[in-house]
Amino acid sequence: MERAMQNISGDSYDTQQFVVFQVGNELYGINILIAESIERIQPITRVPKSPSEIIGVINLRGDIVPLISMRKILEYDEEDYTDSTRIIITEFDDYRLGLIVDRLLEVLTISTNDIQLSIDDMSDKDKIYISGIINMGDQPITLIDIPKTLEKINIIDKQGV
Amino acid sequence: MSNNQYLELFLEESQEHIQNINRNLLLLEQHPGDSEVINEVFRSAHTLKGIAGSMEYKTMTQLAHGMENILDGARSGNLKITPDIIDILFECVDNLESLLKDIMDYGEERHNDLSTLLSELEACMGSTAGGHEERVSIKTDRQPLVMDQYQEHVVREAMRTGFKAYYIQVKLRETCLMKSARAYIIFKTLEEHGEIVYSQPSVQDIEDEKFDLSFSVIVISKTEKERIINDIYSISEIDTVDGVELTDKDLQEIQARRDESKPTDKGAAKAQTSSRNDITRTAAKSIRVDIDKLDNLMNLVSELIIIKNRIQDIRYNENSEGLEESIEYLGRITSNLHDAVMKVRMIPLQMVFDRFPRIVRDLSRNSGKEIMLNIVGAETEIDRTIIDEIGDPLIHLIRNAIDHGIESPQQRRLLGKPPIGNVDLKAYHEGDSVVIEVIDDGRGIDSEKVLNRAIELNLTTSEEAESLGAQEVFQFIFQPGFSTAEKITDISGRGVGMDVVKTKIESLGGTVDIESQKDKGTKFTIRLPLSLSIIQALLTNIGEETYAIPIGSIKEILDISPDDIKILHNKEIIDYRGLLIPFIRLDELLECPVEQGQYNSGYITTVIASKGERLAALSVGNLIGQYEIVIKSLGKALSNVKIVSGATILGDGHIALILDINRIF
Repeated sequence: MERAMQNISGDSYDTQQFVVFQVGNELYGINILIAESIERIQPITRVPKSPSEIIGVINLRGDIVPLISMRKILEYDEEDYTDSTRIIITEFDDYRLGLIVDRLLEVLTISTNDIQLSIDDMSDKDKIYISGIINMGDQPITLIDIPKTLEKINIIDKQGV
Repeated sequence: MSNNQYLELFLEESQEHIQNINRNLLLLEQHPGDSEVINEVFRSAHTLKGIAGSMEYKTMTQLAHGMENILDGARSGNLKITPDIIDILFECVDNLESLLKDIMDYGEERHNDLSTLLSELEACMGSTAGGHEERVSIKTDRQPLVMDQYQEHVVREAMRTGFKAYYIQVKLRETCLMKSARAYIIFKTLEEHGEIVYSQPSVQDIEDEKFDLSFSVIVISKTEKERIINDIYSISEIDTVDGVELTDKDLQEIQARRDESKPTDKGAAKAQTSSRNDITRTAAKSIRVDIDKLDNLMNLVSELIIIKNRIQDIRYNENSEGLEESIEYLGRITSNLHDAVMKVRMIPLQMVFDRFPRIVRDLSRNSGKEIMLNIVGAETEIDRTIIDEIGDPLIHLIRNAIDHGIESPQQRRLLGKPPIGNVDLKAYHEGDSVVIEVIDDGRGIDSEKVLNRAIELNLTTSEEAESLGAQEVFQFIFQPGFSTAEKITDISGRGVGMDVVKTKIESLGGTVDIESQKDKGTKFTIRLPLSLSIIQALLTNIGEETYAIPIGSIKEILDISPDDIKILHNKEIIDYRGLLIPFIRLDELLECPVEQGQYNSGYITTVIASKGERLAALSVGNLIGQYEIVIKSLGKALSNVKIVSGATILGDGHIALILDINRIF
């Protein structure tokens, strides 16, 4: 964190912000530019015949927003929601989706230089599309590119076709 | 009630008149002497009495009659309008309103004893009670005859050449249905005897039925007065006819009166009347259309669109060019028709806003705060369905603004604000939506206190709280239960039921945003869709979930016995009026979690659904009922899910999915 702060004052053009959350025992981050708001868990309506990653839809201030279980995508077993369960509402292209995560940690500002771009032999095997790793605190943070991940598992259409 | 078919018309019309009385009483309160306003209230009360009487609602008739008496007294100058009288009149309107509500809810008047109010009304009339009975007969003297110079000249000329001028007053029966038609017959009869040179009200107004029961004319004729009067009496639905022959003396008086009144108030009165006429004219522009008919039109248009799509599908036809052209044409027609129908459904917000000045007046009286309500953009049009629903949430917001937002005059002075609080109600179009703003210049919402309360209620954590924007903080106000305890009123300055406001607006497909600054005021911004994609749908439980099935695709609802289900080619079928149709268990198809024992009761509720010519029986759970629902998209990510066509938000904020029958079988 301290290094991150220094970086802000050093060169603001080269920093990025990530919403950091926990699923299972690991930490993950998504780019804050696609995050719209954080919501608590609320009544979810199941949608029949929908992809298994889509848990259902919620009424978000009058709009219907589909929810995606990050547990499903990161291949953990589903668990009951707790008091710390959060929904990160994301918005990109024409999509508006909520991501269900176990816990929300912080908004991390970090210099682009501190993002390790990839670890060998990780990207293709997983369901997720990893855009980088941050290895600074006690625990490494995996940065997920949400649009590309959802394309990869066919939840959303390929962009730019 | 024998008059059932007229009930709806009666209710609608009465509501209009009550609103009109309310509006004009407010005006009257500010200008107690304005005779035009008194007349307007009188006319409405009178009509109300008439229609309530014809529907045999005795209490309403009595009340309206009482009001009419007072106003008539005021009209003729026998009674002065005092604040007390205004209050009594307001009380009458309130009672009329609740009587009307009784009729709406129970089909009869259920109101408590109104004898106190009625005797109060009597008491007001007390001073004039004596004159009441004679009034009709001496009216000739009391209502001064005013002619312009030209009319007077014609009368003089006629009298000089041996004609006689009669001043005739005709009063129609109260039961008279088509007053203007009756008046027309009377005019025709009079014209057989001579020439009508003057009429009060004007011929135009009489044709437009802008008159009460009586009107007066001056006829120039050689016929005897008695013959003319007898001829008029031979027309039906006439109450009284009065005739006097005008003399030179009368004419002199008329001239004197004209000279007197000419310079001063005539112009002012003219100006007022014309502005008021504008209002009535805009009101008359709209027509009453049965919403069912409109919905039907909408459905027809939808079908047209479907047919258009079908033509599009048979494009492999050789003559593709002509087909292309006609498709284009059809497309243009359908979209125009759709637009036109949508527009018919649009109604100005005035309908809703008209209720507010009265509410604000009462609130400001009760709370001892001085309030100015400024309404801007009442002419903004919005879908009829929204009009019906938006009133209550707006009242809630206005009430909150006055109760909790606006400070007392003393406090306001201390803060250096003008003592009169402002509540602004603004409506305008913005792109595809209608925006309604409720703005007050009161004490604002203390976001810190809201946050503390939110943390207290475990709606957020103190860590999270730091990252929340103002807008997100204020959204906590809409949480159910956020503002039940008294303490919360302190905190937010926003009373009960904000969650209801929010849910209502969201169920209309709209949103609410809050902006607030401490000690500066609060602004609620409501955004509503211009028109809604609304359908009639059957809400039903399937398993433990709730679904909506469009009424358009439902043919019938039946209870069938499990024994009726037969197997054909490995599929379940039933015999529906001699036709074998597939039986589809929706709970299985939709993989709904099923409550234990739901289907053990013997019969299965079944919806016979149609898809064009094809039918299928769909098993459902408990039926909830038929509702008008607003269709919302599920979002792009779920566009591949074909079995549901969208979703709707129910009154409790939950979501029900809308089944796409075409994709089920």
